[in-house]
Amino acid sequence: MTALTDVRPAERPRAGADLLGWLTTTDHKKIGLMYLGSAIVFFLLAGLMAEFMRAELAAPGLQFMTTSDYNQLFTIHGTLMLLFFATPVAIGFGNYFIPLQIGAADMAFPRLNALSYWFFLFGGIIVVSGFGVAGGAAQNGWTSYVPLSDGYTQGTGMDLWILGVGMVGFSGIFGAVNFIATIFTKRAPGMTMFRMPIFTWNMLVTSAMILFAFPPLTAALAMLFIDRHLGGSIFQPAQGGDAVIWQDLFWFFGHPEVYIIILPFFGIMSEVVAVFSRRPIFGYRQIVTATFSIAFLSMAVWAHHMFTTGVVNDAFFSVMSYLIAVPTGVKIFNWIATMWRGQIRLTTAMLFCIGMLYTFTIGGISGVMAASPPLDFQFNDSYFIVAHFHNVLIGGTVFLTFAGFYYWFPKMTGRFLDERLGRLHFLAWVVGTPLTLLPMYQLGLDGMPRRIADYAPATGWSDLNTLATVGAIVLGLGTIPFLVAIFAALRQPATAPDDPWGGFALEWATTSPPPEHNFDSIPPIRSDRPVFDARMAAQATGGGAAPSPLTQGG
Amino acid sequence: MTAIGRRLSTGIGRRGRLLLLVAAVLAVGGCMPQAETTQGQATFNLYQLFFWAGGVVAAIVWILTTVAIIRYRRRGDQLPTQVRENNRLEFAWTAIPFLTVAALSVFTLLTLSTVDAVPRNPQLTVDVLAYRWSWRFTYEGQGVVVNGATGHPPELVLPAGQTTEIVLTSADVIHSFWVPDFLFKRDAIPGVTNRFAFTVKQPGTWSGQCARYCGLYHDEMTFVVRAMPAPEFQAWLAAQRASGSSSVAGGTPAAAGASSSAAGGSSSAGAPSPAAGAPSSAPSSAPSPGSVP
Repeated sequence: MTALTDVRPAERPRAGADLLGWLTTTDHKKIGLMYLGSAIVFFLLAGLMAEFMRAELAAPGLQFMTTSDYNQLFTIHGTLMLLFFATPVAIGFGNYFIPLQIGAADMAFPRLNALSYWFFLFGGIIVVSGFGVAGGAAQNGWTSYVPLSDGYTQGTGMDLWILGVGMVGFSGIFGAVNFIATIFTKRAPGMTMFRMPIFTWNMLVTSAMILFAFPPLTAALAMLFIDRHLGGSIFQPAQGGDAVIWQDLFWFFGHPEVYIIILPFFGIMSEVVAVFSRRPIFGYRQIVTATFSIAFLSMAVWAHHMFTTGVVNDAFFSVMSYLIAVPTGVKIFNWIATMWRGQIRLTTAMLFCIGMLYTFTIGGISGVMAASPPLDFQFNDSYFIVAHFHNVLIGGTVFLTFAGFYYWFPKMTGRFLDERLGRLHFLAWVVGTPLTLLPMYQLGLDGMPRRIADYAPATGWSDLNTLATVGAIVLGLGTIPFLVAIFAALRQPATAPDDPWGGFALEWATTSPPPEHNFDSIPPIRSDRPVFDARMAAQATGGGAAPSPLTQGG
Repeated sequence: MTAIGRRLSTGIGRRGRLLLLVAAVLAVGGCMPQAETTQGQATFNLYQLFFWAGGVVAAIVWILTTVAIIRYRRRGDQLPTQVRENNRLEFAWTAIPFLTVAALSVFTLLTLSTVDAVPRNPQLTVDVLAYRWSWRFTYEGQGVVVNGATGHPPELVLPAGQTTEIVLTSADVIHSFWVPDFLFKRDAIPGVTNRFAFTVKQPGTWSGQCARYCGLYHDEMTFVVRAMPAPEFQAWLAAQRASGSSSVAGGTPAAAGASSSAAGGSSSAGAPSPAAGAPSSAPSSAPSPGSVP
């Protein structure tokens, strides 16, 4: 695309040339930005659905929608949040920053990279398009258990869901292959594996997990389609099929998936906490080991979603699920140790990381509780579980997505997100999250099942539901400063310096935003912090550039 | 120096207040209801252990984080010590969580065997058939069937102080039998027969519901559990048998959800349900290729 504009530099680019450039690009940075932008749009869409659901649940009775509308909302909300926001936003950051962090000019397979983006985007559009067909979108929850989704669900919405989710599955596999190939083959001279930034490490492990986890999902979707349209009876017990095997296949994808959408963000956490404490990440090797442990264990915990089925070995999957809490806990202590005796700057990115330490911890603890089968016999499919996974996903994935945006926005665009708006954004989310989720925990213990549009006044659940809805409104309003900050920043001229935060990894060694080929020169790589080393060397020789105002602040 | 000291002391004060607030909030978000069954009591006790153990872990993480951001907030431009690792420390914070979850595993497995125990000779066995969107309770060997209909929750009447075995399956999609006050649920899966037992401690009435999303009227798939003293229960059974000829079964599994003309929530004695065969054996005789003991 650049070729087109370079030919006639004096002329204004023809209308549409820019658009064509985005549509046909194979540049990892543009694809990364498209991933991030699309993922945020899906996040806002799914978030809006959550607000509608919370409005409906605030009081007993059906005020705003029919039961069928509600069922479509929770199904598409979950599907979008997990598969079209959390996974792609990680892939988006990976796309933009893996080549930069390892000193490469692009991904190993740039065109496959573009293909994986377009599969993701059209998969998402297909899933959402279900709202426009007769009978509405899929309404069996993001888990789409059989035989409900099989012979008991008519309508095109369900088929669009199968197709859209299948496409994002392929997209994930393509992306994972690309990341692995890039990390193994495109590292700059000196960039040994154990000098890679933690974010790159985590993306590598995440990619390997995608290769194990996504194919079973694709297979399960194909089987479901065969049952629905080609006369199969794989999941229909009445014809000799098995109603439980779907859950095994789905969760063999689904449980690694929850680590797929947290490990990249643990990587962001490791970058941000270290830079804003001005210390190397504490226990680099232990963190990498913990990441691998999580990846291995995550393949052997899927049936903890199935404790109540009565057909799995509850004891085995319980113990495995407890074990996976250990490496996760280890990382939390490593982050605290990184901050300990550091020089902590409370930028918005850092605030979201600290917010993560407070909120994610509750979600982690409720997860250990849910790994106990007897306790899960009460929690399963209740609001306790809803609260638990929103606690880890908001406290972990969403908070750290925001941290990633505040941290890397200057690198990606050359512009800063406003820190005052950022603090407002953070305040709303750190208050709104427990306000929404703590009442949900109690509702679950009191007996409120998930996936219900209505409840009787006699249940006594309305007060806590109202409280949770207030929390959800705080989260919704709290997102506005973030969007305002993005739009305001994009209207400013690009003035951000190469390295505004005093960064460590190679992405800070190039301009903001980087040129199309990424680097004009790469500093020598002698450790996992080449940019830090270069800064120290420059200071030692007396030629240290004055720190930018922002590295002074906070 | 004094400035830092003052800053620290206000920090501690703030931390104290924060802890109080957190304790209050946790108390709101973590109260398990009292269990009404002896099996549920074991779960309740286990929950208390987890809740307090979790509270200690959360307190450690929160206090360390809070102290770190207060004490090590940037004060100058001096580069802090660049410590990269500490093997002893790292070993400790791997080993201690490991031992903690090992201990929790032991308590969990002990409780699991209590909660999952099914007696060889239960005093009462009830076959529970879940269907869209209600329940049918068949009292094995008693000739009594209680059937509900969507919007008309059936009543599961039980003797207090005696152990009841439930034999659970589904006629269509996957459901889940949940009585929140018993702190227990188990899935009703077509083709699978699940067995569990509980002993209700005291007479009383509690609500139950389907916990597994099962389609449009999932939220209306409720039932009521009523426990009565054993002699009263025997009288109830006799009364049901006596009135058997006069009443008609409610919505049948086949016509589930269809507006059955029969009164929902009615109970009938021995009225065979057309769709699922003889009441006392219907659930257990359902085809169960995927059944795993």
